[in-house]
Amino acid sequence: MIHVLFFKTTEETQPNPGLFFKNVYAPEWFDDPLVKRIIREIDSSESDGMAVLGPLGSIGVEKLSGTAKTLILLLKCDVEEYFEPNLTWVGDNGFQLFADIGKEHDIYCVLTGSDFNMRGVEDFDFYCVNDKSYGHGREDWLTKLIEYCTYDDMEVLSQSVKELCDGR
Amino acid sequence: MVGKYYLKIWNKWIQYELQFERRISVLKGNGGTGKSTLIDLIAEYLRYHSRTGVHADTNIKDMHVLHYNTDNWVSLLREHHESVFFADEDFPYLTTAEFNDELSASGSYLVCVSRENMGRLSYAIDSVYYLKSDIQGHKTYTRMYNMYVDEHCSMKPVRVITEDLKSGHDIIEHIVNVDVISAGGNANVQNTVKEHVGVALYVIVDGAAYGQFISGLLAICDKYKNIKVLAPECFEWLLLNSYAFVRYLTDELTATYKYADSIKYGTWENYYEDLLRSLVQRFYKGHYNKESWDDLFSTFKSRRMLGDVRRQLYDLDNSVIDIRP
Repeated sequence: MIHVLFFKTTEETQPNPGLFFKNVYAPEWFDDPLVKRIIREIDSSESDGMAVLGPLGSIGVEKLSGTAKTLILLLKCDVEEYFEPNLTWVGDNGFQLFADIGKEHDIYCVLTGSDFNMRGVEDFDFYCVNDKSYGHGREDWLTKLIEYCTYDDMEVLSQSVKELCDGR
Repeated sequence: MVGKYYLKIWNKWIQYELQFERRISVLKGNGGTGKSTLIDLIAEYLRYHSRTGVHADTNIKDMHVLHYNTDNWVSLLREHHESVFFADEDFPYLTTAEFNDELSASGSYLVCVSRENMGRLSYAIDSVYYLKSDIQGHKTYTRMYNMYVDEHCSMKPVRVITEDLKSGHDIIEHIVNVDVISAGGNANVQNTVKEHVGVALYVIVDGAAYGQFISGLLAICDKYKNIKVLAPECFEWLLLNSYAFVRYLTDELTATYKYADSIKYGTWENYYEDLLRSLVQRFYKGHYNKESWDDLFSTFKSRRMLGDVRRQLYDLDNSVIDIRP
Protein backbone atom coordinates (compact mmCIF):
# COMPACT_ATOMS: atom_id res chain seq x y z
CA MET A 1 0.00 0.00 0.00
CA ILE A 2 1.14 3.54 -0.79
CA HIS A 3 1.11 5.79 2.27
CA VAL A 4 1.57 9.44 1.32
CA LEU A 5 1.72 12.73 3.18
CA PHE A 6 0.74 15.60 0.87
CA PHE A 7 2.58 18.94 1.02
CA LYS A 8 4.29 18.36 4.33
CA THR A 9 7.57 16.64 5.13
CA THR A 10 8.89 14.91 8.22
CA GLU A 11 12.23 14.82 9.98
CA GLU A 12 12.72 11.39 8.40
CA THR A 13 12.12 12.49 4.80
CA GLN A 14 15.18 11.56 2.76
CA PRO A 15 16.82 14.78 1.51
CA ASN A 16 18.96 13.12 -1.14
CA PRO A 17 17.91 9.68 -2.43
CA GLY A 18 20.88 9.59 -4.82
CA LEU A 19 23.35 9.86 -1.98
CA PHE A 20 21.37 7.41 0.15
CA PHE A 21 21.29 4.90 -2.71
CA LYS A 22 25.08 5.05 -3.09
CA ASN A 23 25.51 4.08 0.56
CA VAL A 24 22.89 1.35 0.98
CA TYR A 25 22.42 -0.56 -2.26
CA ALA A 26 23.17 -4.28 -2.37
CA PRO A 27 24.41 -6.21 -5.43
CA GLU A 28 21.60 -8.75 -5.24
CA TRP A 29 18.98 -6.03 -5.75
CA PHE A 30 19.84 -5.98 -9.44
CA ASP A 31 18.79 -9.59 -9.98
CA ASP A 32 15.19 -8.66 -9.11
CA PRO A 33 12.98 -8.62 -12.24
CA LEU A 34 11.17 -5.48 -11.06
CA VAL A 35 14.47 -3.65 -10.57
CA LYS A 36 15.46 -4.69 -14.08
CA ARG A 37 12.12 -3.35 -15.32
CA ILE A 38 12.69 -0.01 -13.53
CA ILE A 39 16.09 0.34 -15.16
CA ARG A 40 14.69 -0.62 -18.56
CA GLU A 41 11.63 1.64 -18.47
CA ILE A 42 13.16 4.69 -16.84
CA ASP A 43 16.77 4.69 -18.03
CA SER A 44 16.29 2.73 -21.28
CA SER A 45 19.05 0.41 -20.12
CA GLU A 46 19.59 -3.25 -19.35
CA SER A 47 21.16 -4.32 -16.08
CA ASP A 48 23.55 -7.21 -15.84
CA GLY A 49 24.41 -7.51 -12.19
CA MET A 50 25.78 -4.14 -11.12
CA ALA A 51 26.66 -3.03 -14.62
CA VAL A 52 24.09 -1.16 -16.64
CA LEU A 53 24.26 -1.00 -20.40
CA GLY A 54 22.38 1.85 -21.99
CA PRO A 55 22.60 4.77 -24.40
CA LEU A 56 25.65 6.13 -22.57
CA GLY A 57 27.52 2.83 -22.77
CA SER A 58 28.27 0.74 -19.72
CA ILE A 59 27.79 2.57 -16.42
CA GLY A 60 27.74 1.64 -12.75
CA VAL A 61 24.43 1.55 -10.92
CA GLU A 62 25.42 4.71 -9.07
CA LYS A 63 24.92 6.58 -12.34
CA LEU A 64 21.28 5.59 -12.66
CA SER A 65 18.76 8.44 -12.80
CA GLY A 66 17.24 9.93 -9.65
CA THR A 67 13.87 8.48 -10.64
CA ALA A 68 15.26 4.95 -11.03
CA LYS A 69 17.21 5.12 -7.76
CA THR A 70 14.18 6.38 -5.84
CA LEU A 71 11.92 3.64 -7.21
CA ILE A 72 14.51 0.95 -6.50
CA LEU A 73 14.88 2.20 -2.93
CA LEU A 74 11.09 2.20 -2.48
CA LEU A 75 11.08 -1.40 -3.60
CA LYS A 76 14.09 -2.64 -1.67
CA CYS A 77 14.33 -0.70 1.58
CA ASP A 78 12.75 -2.21 4.65
CA VAL A 79 12.23 -1.34 8.29
CA GLU A 80 15.96 -1.59 8.93
CA GLU A 81 16.79 0.95 6.23
CA TYR A 82 13.71 3.16 6.44
CA PHE A 83 13.30 5.16 3.25
CA GLU A 84 10.78 7.97 3.06
CA PRO A 85 11.34 9.89 -0.19
CA ASN A 86 9.79 13.03 -1.52
CA LEU A 87 8.03 11.95 -4.72
CA THR A 88 9.35 15.06 -6.46
CA TRP A 89 12.39 12.87 -7.15
CA VAL A 90 10.27 10.68 -9.42
CA GLY A 91 9.59 11.78 -12.99
CA ASP A 92 6.36 11.41 -14.92
CA ASN A 93 7.47 8.12 -16.48
CA GLY A 94 7.74 6.60 -12.99
CA PHE A 95 4.02 6.87 -12.09
CA GLN A 96 3.05 3.36 -13.26
CA LEU A 97 6.06 1.73 -11.61
CA PHE A 98 5.34 3.62 -8.40
CA ALA A 99 1.77 2.29 -8.43
CA ASP A 100 2.98 -1.24 -9.17
CA ILE A 101 5.50 -1.18 -6.32
CA GLY A 102 2.74 0.04 -3.99
CA LYS A 103 0.60 -2.97 -4.85
CA GLU A 104 3.25 -5.36 -3.55
CA HIS A 105 4.91 -3.40 -0.74
CA ASP A 106 4.13 -0.93 2.00
CA ILE A 107 5.75 2.32 0.95
CA TYR A 108 5.90 5.58 2.88
CA CYS A 109 6.48 8.90 1.15
CA VAL A 110 5.75 12.62 1.05
CA LEU A 111 4.90 14.84 -1.91
CA THR A 112 5.66 18.56 -2.13
CA GLY A 113 5.27 19.15 -5.88
CA SER A 114 2.17 19.34 -8.07
CA ASP A 115 3.73 17.57 -11.07
CA PHE A 116 3.25 14.12 -9.53
CA ASN A 117 -0.31 13.81 -10.85
CA MET A 118 -0.35 10.07 -11.72
CA ARG A 119 -1.33 10.87 -15.31
CA GLY A 120 -2.10 7.68 -17.20
CA VAL A 121 -2.43 5.47 -14.09
CA GLU A 122 -5.85 4.47 -12.78
CA ASP A 123 -5.68 1.23 -10.83
CA PHE A 124 -3.95 1.87 -7.51
CA ASP A 125 -4.83 2.34 -3.85
CA PHE A 126 -3.30 4.79 -1.43
CA TYR A 127 -3.62 5.99 2.13
CA CYS A 128 -3.64 9.78 2.62
CA VAL A 129 -1.84 10.48 5.88
CA ASN A 130 -3.13 14.08 6.07
CA ASP A 131 -6.75 13.12 6.71
CA LYS A 132 -6.32 9.41 7.42
CA SER A 133 -8.42 8.37 4.43
CA TYR A 134 -8.08 5.71 1.76
CA GLY A 135 -8.25 6.56 -1.93
CA HIS A 136 -8.39 4.66 -5.16
CA GLY A 137 -7.22 5.76 -8.58
CA ARG A 138 -6.19 9.01 -10.16
CA GLU A 139 -9.40 10.91 -9.45
CA ASP A 140 -8.92 10.46 -5.69
CA TRP A 141 -5.20 11.23 -6.00
CA LEU A 142 -5.94 14.54 -7.79
CA THR A 143 -8.55 15.40 -5.16
CA LYS A 144 -5.94 15.15 -2.39
CA LEU A 145 -3.24 16.84 -4.49
CA ILE A 146 -5.54 19.82 -5.11
CA GLU A 147 -6.85 19.94 -1.54
CA TYR A 148 -3.46 20.05 0.15
CA CYS A 149 -1.44 21.86 -2.55
CA THR A 150 0.51 24.80 -1.16
CA TYR A 151 3.38 27.00 -2.29
CA ASP A 152 4.27 28.22 1.19
CA ASP A 153 6.93 26.70 3.42
CA MET A 154 6.07 23.06 4.03
CA GLU A 155 5.43 22.04 7.62
CA VAL A 156 7.99 19.54 8.94
CA LEU A 157 6.49 16.89 11.22
CA SER A 158 8.55 15.22 13.93
CA GLN A 159 7.05 11.76 13.36
CA SER A 160 7.87 9.79 10.24
CA VAL A 161 5.15 8.88 7.75
CA LYS A 162 5.37 5.28 8.97
CA GLU A 163 4.93 6.33 12.59
CA LEU A 164 1.96 8.48 11.61
CA CYS A 165 0.45 5.46 9.87
CA ASP A 166 1.19 3.10 12.74
CA GLY A 167 -0.84 5.36 14.98
CA ARG A 168 -3.89 5.37 12.71
CA MET B 1 22.07 40.92 -17.15
CA VAL B 2 20.24 40.67 -20.45
CA GLY B 3 20.44 38.31 -23.39
CA LYS B 4 19.67 34.97 -24.87
CA TYR B 5 22.20 32.29 -24.02
CA TYR B 6 23.09 29.02 -25.63
CA LEU B 7 25.14 26.13 -24.40
CA LYS B 8 26.25 23.18 -26.48
CA ILE B 9 28.19 20.70 -24.35
CA TRP B 10 29.31 17.22 -25.27
CA ASN B 11 31.57 14.28 -24.66
CA LYS B 12 32.07 11.12 -26.68
CA TRP B 13 28.66 9.71 -25.74
CA ILE B 14 26.24 12.53 -25.30
CA GLN B 15 25.61 16.05 -26.51
CA TYR B 16 23.27 18.67 -25.07
CA GLU B 17 21.98 21.80 -26.73
CA LEU B 18 20.30 24.35 -24.49
CA GLN B 19 19.00 27.84 -25.06
CA PHE B 20 17.36 30.14 -22.54
CA GLU B 21 16.44 33.80 -22.48
CA ARG B 22 14.77 34.49 -19.14
CA ARG B 23 16.20 34.84 -15.65
CA ILE B 24 14.94 31.48 -14.43
CA SER B 25 14.52 28.26 -16.41
CA VAL B 26 13.31 24.99 -14.91
CA LEU B 27 13.95 21.47 -16.22
CA LYS B 28 11.48 18.77 -15.19
CA GLY B 29 9.49 15.93 -16.74
CA ASN B 30 10.48 12.32 -17.18
CA GLY B 31 13.27 10.62 -15.27
CA GLY B 32 16.22 9.18 -17.17
CA THR B 33 16.39 12.03 -19.68
CA GLY B 34 19.84 13.12 -18.52
CA LYS B 35 19.12 16.17 -16.39
CA SER B 36 21.64 15.28 -13.68
CA THR B 37 24.11 14.00 -16.29
CA LEU B 38 23.91 17.45 -17.89
CA ILE B 39 24.73 19.19 -14.60
CA ASP B 40 27.60 16.73 -13.95
CA LEU B 41 28.97 17.36 -17.44
CA ILE B 42 28.94 21.12 -16.89
CA ALA B 43 30.69 20.66 -13.52
CA GLU B 44 33.38 18.49 -15.12
CA TYR B 45 33.87 20.99 -17.94
CA LEU B 46 34.18 23.89 -15.49
CA ARG B 47 36.84 22.06 -13.51
CA TYR B 48 39.38 21.29 -16.23
CA HIS B 49 37.66 22.40 -19.43
CA SER B 50 38.43 20.25 -22.49
CA ARG B 51 41.09 18.25 -20.62
CA THR B 52 38.24 16.22 -19.08
CA GLY B 53 37.06 15.12 -22.53
CA VAL B 54 34.07 17.43 -22.19
CA HIS B 55 33.76 20.17 -24.78
CA ALA B 56 31.52 23.20 -24.88
CA ASP B 57 30.44 25.94 -27.23
CA THR B 58 28.62 28.77 -25.50
CA ASN B 59 28.15 32.53 -25.27
CA ILE B 60 27.90 32.31 -21.46
CA LYS B 61 30.86 34.18 -20.00
CA ASP B 62 30.67 32.77 -16.51
CA MET B 63 28.81 29.72 -15.22
CA HIS B 64 28.63 27.74 -12.00
CA VAL B 65 27.07 24.54 -10.75
CA LEU B 66 25.08 24.21 -7.53
CA HIS B 67 25.04 20.73 -6.00
CA TYR B 68 24.07 19.34 -2.61
CA ASN B 69 27.59 20.05 -1.35
CA THR B 70 27.97 23.59 -2.73
CA ASP B 71 28.28 25.16 0.70
CA ASN B 72 29.59 28.48 -0.61
CA TRP B 73 26.54 29.24 -2.78
CA VAL B 74 25.83 32.53 -0.99
CA SER B 75 29.27 33.93 -1.74
CA LEU B 76 29.12 32.59 -5.30
CA LEU B 77 25.88 34.46 -5.92
CA ARG B 78 27.20 37.60 -4.28
CA GLU B 79 30.42 37.60 -6.26
CA HIS B 80 29.02 36.74 -9.69
CA HIS B 81 26.42 39.04 -11.18
CA GLU B 82 26.58 38.24 -14.87
CA SER B 83 26.58 34.48 -14.54
CA VAL B 84 24.45 31.47 -15.23
CA PHE B 85 23.94 29.09 -12.29
CA PHE B 86 22.98 25.49 -13.00
CA ALA B 87 21.35 23.81 -9.99
CA ASP B 88 20.71 20.08 -9.77
CA GLU B 89 17.68 18.77 -7.90
CA ASP B 90 19.87 17.75 -4.96
CA PHE B 91 20.72 21.41 -4.26
CA PRO B 92 18.66 21.82 -1.07
CA TYR B 93 18.18 25.59 -0.97
CA LEU B 94 16.10 26.21 -4.10
CA THR B 95 12.85 26.70 -2.20
CA THR B 96 14.28 28.84 0.58
CA ALA B 97 13.70 32.56 1.06
CA GLU B 98 17.44 33.11 1.44
CA PHE B 99 18.21 31.62 -1.96
CA ASN B 100 15.47 33.66 -3.64
CA ASP B 101 16.80 36.86 -2.04
CA GLU B 102 20.40 36.15 -3.02
CA LEU B 103 19.47 35.21 -6.59
CA SER B 104 17.35 38.34 -7.01
CA ALA B 105 20.14 40.54 -5.70
CA SER B 106 22.68 38.80 -7.90
CA GLY B 107 20.76 39.32 -11.15
CA SER B 108 22.32 36.13 -12.49
CA TYR B 109 20.38 33.58 -14.51
CA LEU B 110 19.35 30.25 -12.99
CA VAL B 111 18.75 26.95 -14.78
CA CYS B 112 17.50 24.42 -12.25
CA VAL B 113 16.31 20.85 -12.15
CA SER B 114 13.33 20.57 -9.81
CA ARG B 115 9.82 19.19 -9.55
CA GLU B 116 9.18 20.91 -6.21
CA ASN B 117 6.54 23.60 -5.74
CA MET B 118 8.78 26.66 -5.70
CA GLY B 119 6.39 29.43 -4.73
CA ARG B 120 9.16 31.89 -3.99
CA LEU B 121 10.88 31.74 -7.36
CA SER B 122 8.89 33.61 -9.95
CA TYR B 123 9.28 32.31 -13.50
CA ALA B 124 7.40 32.08 -16.77
CA ILE B 125 5.27 29.20 -18.00
CA ASP B 126 7.45 29.36 -21.12
CA SER B 127 10.54 28.82 -18.95
CA VAL B 128 9.57 25.28 -17.97
CA TYR B 129 11.28 22.70 -20.15
CA TYR B 130 11.84 19.00 -20.50
CA LEU B 131 14.72 17.20 -22.17
CA LYS B 132 14.32 14.80 -25.04
CA SER B 133 16.98 12.68 -26.68
CA ASP B 134 17.64 11.17 -30.08
CA ILE B 135 20.16 8.38 -30.43
CA GLN B 136 22.27 8.47 -33.56
CA GLY B 137 24.80 5.68 -33.76
CA HIS B 138 26.61 5.54 -30.42
CA LYS B 139 25.80 9.10 -29.48
CA THR B 140 22.79 10.64 -27.75
CA TYR B 141 21.70 14.13 -28.77
CA THR B 142 19.57 15.91 -26.19
CA ARG B 143 17.63 19.14 -26.59
CA MET B 144 15.22 21.10 -24.40
CA TYR B 145 11.55 21.67 -25.28
CA ASN B 146 8.78 23.71 -23.71
CA MET B 147 6.83 21.64 -21.20
CA TYR B 148 3.61 23.58 -21.70
CA VAL B 149 2.20 24.14 -25.14
CA ASP B 150 -0.79 25.82 -26.73
CA GLU B 151 -3.75 23.64 -27.50
CA HIS B 152 -6.77 24.46 -29.60
CA CYS B 153 -9.94 25.04 -27.61
CA SER B 154 -13.44 26.09 -28.58
CA MET B 155 -15.16 26.01 -25.19
CA LYS B 156 -17.56 28.86 -24.42
CA PRO B 157 -17.00 30.05 -20.85
CA VAL B 158 -19.77 31.22 -18.57
CA ARG B 159 -17.32 32.75 -16.15
CA VAL B 160 -13.81 34.22 -16.40
CA ILE B 161 -11.30 34.38 -13.56
CA THR B 162 -8.48 36.88 -13.91
CA GLU B 163 -5.30 36.73 -11.90
CA ASP B 164 -5.19 40.53 -11.93
CA LEU B 165 -7.03 42.83 -9.63
CA LYS B 166 -8.27 46.27 -10.66
CA SER B 167 -6.98 47.36 -14.12
CA GLY B 168 -6.36 43.84 -15.41
CA HIS B 169 -9.74 42.70 -14.19
CA ASP B 170 -11.62 45.83 -15.32
CA ILE B 171 -10.48 45.74 -18.92
CA ILE B 172 -11.44 42.07 -19.28
CA GLU B 173 -14.83 42.93 -17.81
CA HIS B 174 -15.22 45.59 -20.53
CA ILE B 175 -14.66 43.17 -23.38
CA VAL B 176 -16.31 39.89 -22.42
CA ASN B 177 -20.00 39.46 -21.78
CA VAL B 178 -19.79 36.94 -18.94
CA ASP B 179 -19.04 37.23 -15.21
CA VAL B 180 -15.44 38.22 -14.50
CA ILE B 181 -13.98 37.47 -11.10
CA SER B 182 -10.61 38.64 -9.83
CA ALA B 183 -8.40 36.22 -7.92
CA GLY B 184 -6.41 39.12 -6.50
CA GLY B 185 -2.96 37.82 -7.35
CA ASN B 186 -1.27 34.76 -8.82
CA ALA B 187 -1.00 32.92 -5.49
CA ASN B 188 -4.80 33.07 -5.07
CA VAL B 189 -5.80 31.79 -8.50
CA GLN B 190 -6.07 28.13 -7.55
CA ASN B 191 -8.23 28.77 -4.49
CA THR B 192 -10.51 31.06 -6.52
CA VAL B 193 -10.81 28.46 -9.28
CA LYS B 194 -11.70 25.80 -6.68
CA GLU B 195 -14.61 28.00 -5.53
CA HIS B 196 -16.05 28.18 -9.03
CA VAL B 197 -15.67 24.68 -10.45
CA GLY B 198 -18.84 23.30 -11.95
CA VAL B 199 -19.32 25.92 -14.68
CA ALA B 200 -17.26 26.43 -17.82
CA LEU B 201 -14.35 28.60 -16.70
CA TYR B 202 -11.62 30.53 -18.46
CA VAL B 203 -8.71 31.40 -16.20
CA ILE B 204 -6.47 34.23 -17.38
CA VAL B 205 -3.03 34.28 -15.76
CA ASP B 206 0.13 36.26 -16.43
CA GLY B 207 2.26 33.68 -18.23
CA ALA B 208 5.45 35.66 -17.61
CA ALA B 209 5.25 34.95 -13.86
CA TYR B 210 3.04 31.90 -13.45
CA GLY B 211 5.42 29.00 -14.14
CA GLN B 212 5.75 28.19 -10.44
CA PHE B 213 1.98 27.67 -10.14
CA ILE B 214 0.98 26.18 -13.48
CA SER B 215 1.25 22.47 -12.62
CA GLY B 216 -1.06 22.93 -9.62
CA LEU B 217 -3.60 24.79 -11.73
CA LEU B 218 -3.44 22.14 -14.46
CA ALA B 219 -4.10 19.46 -11.84
CA ILE B 220 -7.41 21.23 -11.14
CA CYS B 221 -8.09 21.45 -14.89
CA ASP B 222 -7.37 17.73 -15.13
CA LYS B 223 -9.95 16.89 -12.49
CA TYR B 224 -12.65 19.33 -13.63
CA LYS B 225 -12.62 19.13 -17.39
CA ASN B 226 -14.39 22.41 -18.12
CA ILE B 227 -11.59 24.76 -17.06
CA LYS B 228 -9.23 26.30 -19.59
CA VAL B 229 -6.17 28.46 -19.00
CA LEU B 230 -5.22 31.49 -21.09
CA ALA B 231 -1.72 32.75 -20.44
CA PRO B 232 -0.67 35.94 -22.23
CA GLU B 233 2.65 37.27 -20.93
CA CYS B 234 0.69 39.70 -18.74
CA PHE B 235 -2.05 42.30 -18.87
CA GLU B 236 0.40 45.07 -19.78
CA TRP B 237 1.68 42.95 -22.69
CA LEU B 238 -1.85 42.83 -24.09
CA LEU B 239 -2.05 46.62 -23.95
CA LEU B 240 1.42 47.05 -25.45
CA ASN B 241 0.35 44.92 -28.40
CA SER B 242 -2.52 47.28 -29.17
CA TYR B 243 -2.16 49.91 -31.91
CA ALA B 244 -1.86 52.74 -29.38
CA PHE B 245 1.53 51.44 -28.26
CA VAL B 246 2.90 48.88 -30.67
CA ARG B 247 3.56 51.60 -33.25
CA TYR B 248 6.14 53.13 -30.92
CA LEU B 249 7.99 49.87 -30.38
CA THR B 250 10.64 48.02 -32.36
CA ASP B 251 11.37 44.53 -31.03
CA GLU B 252 10.71 45.03 -27.31
CA LEU B 253 7.84 42.53 -27.39
CA THR B 254 9.41 39.94 -29.67
CA ALA B 255 12.97 40.06 -28.32
CA THR B 256 12.35 41.07 -24.72
CA TYR B 257 15.52 39.28 -23.60
CA LYS B 258 17.50 42.19 -25.05
CA TYR B 259 15.87 44.69 -22.71
CA ALA B 260 14.60 43.04 -19.52
CA ASP B 261 17.63 43.40 -17.27
CA SER B 262 17.44 40.64 -14.68
CA ILE B 263 18.95 42.80 -11.96
CA LYS B 264 16.03 45.21 -12.31
CA TYR B 265 13.19 42.96 -13.43
CA GLY B 266 12.45 39.68 -11.67
CA THR B 267 10.22 38.63 -14.56
CA TRP B 268 9.29 40.08 -17.93
CA GLU B 269 5.97 41.12 -16.42
CA ASN B 270 7.82 43.79 -14.42
CA TYR B 271 9.56 44.97 -17.58
CA TYR B 272 6.31 45.24 -19.59
CA GLU B 273 4.71 47.20 -16.76
CA ASP B 274 7.60 49.66 -16.75
CA LEU B 275 7.59 49.92 -20.55
CA LEU B 276 3.86 50.65 -20.64
CA ARG B 277 4.21 53.28 -17.95
CA SER B 278 6.98 55.05 -19.82
CA LEU B 279 5.12 54.99 -23.18
CA VAL B 280 1.93 56.38 -21.66
CA GLN B 281 3.91 59.15 -20.06
CA ARG B 282 6.04 59.93 -23.10
CA PHE B 283 3.51 59.81 -25.93
CA TYR B 284 0.22 60.50 -24.20
CA LYS B 285 1.26 62.68 -21.27
CA GLY B 286 -0.80 60.43 -19.03
CA HIS B 287 -0.20 57.96 -16.25
CA TYR B 288 -0.54 54.23 -16.28
CA ASN B 289 -1.83 53.08 -12.96
CA LYS B 290 -2.12 49.38 -12.27
CA GLU B 291 -4.65 50.21 -9.60
CA SER B 292 -7.15 51.89 -11.89
CA TRP B 293 -8.03 51.44 -15.54
CA ASP B 294 -10.07 54.68 -15.55
CA ASP B 295 -7.03 56.97 -15.95
CA LEU B 296 -5.71 55.11 -18.95
CA PHE B 297 -9.12 54.75 -20.54
CA SER B 298 -9.88 58.45 -20.20
CA THR B 299 -6.47 59.24 -21.73
CA PHE B 300 -7.36 57.43 -24.94
CA LYS B 301 -11.12 57.91 -25.04
CA SER B 302 -10.99 55.27 -27.69
CA ARG B 303 -12.58 51.90 -28.14
CA ARG B 304 -9.83 50.85 -30.51
CA MET B 305 -7.61 49.68 -27.70
CA LEU B 306 -10.40 47.57 -26.27
CA GLY B 307 -10.92 46.08 -29.71
CA ASP B 308 -7.21 45.30 -30.01
CA VAL B 309 -7.15 43.58 -26.63
CA ARG B 310 -10.34 41.70 -27.45
CA ARG B 311 -8.78 40.47 -30.70
CA GLN B 312 -5.69 39.22 -28.84
CA LEU B 313 -7.81 37.41 -26.29
CA TYR B 314 -9.75 35.87 -29.14
CA ASP B 315 -6.46 34.62 -30.61
CA LEU B 316 -5.47 33.25 -27.22
CA ASP B 317 -8.89 31.65 -26.92
CA ASN B 318 -7.78 29.31 -29.65
CA SER B 319 -4.60 28.37 -27.83
CA VAL B 320 -5.17 27.46 -24.21
CA ILE B 321 -2.31 26.06 -22.18
CA ASP B 322 -1.88 22.35 -21.67
CA ILE B 323 0.90 20.03 -20.72
CA ARG B 324 2.78 18.47 -23.59
CA PRO B 325 1.70 14.82 -23.87
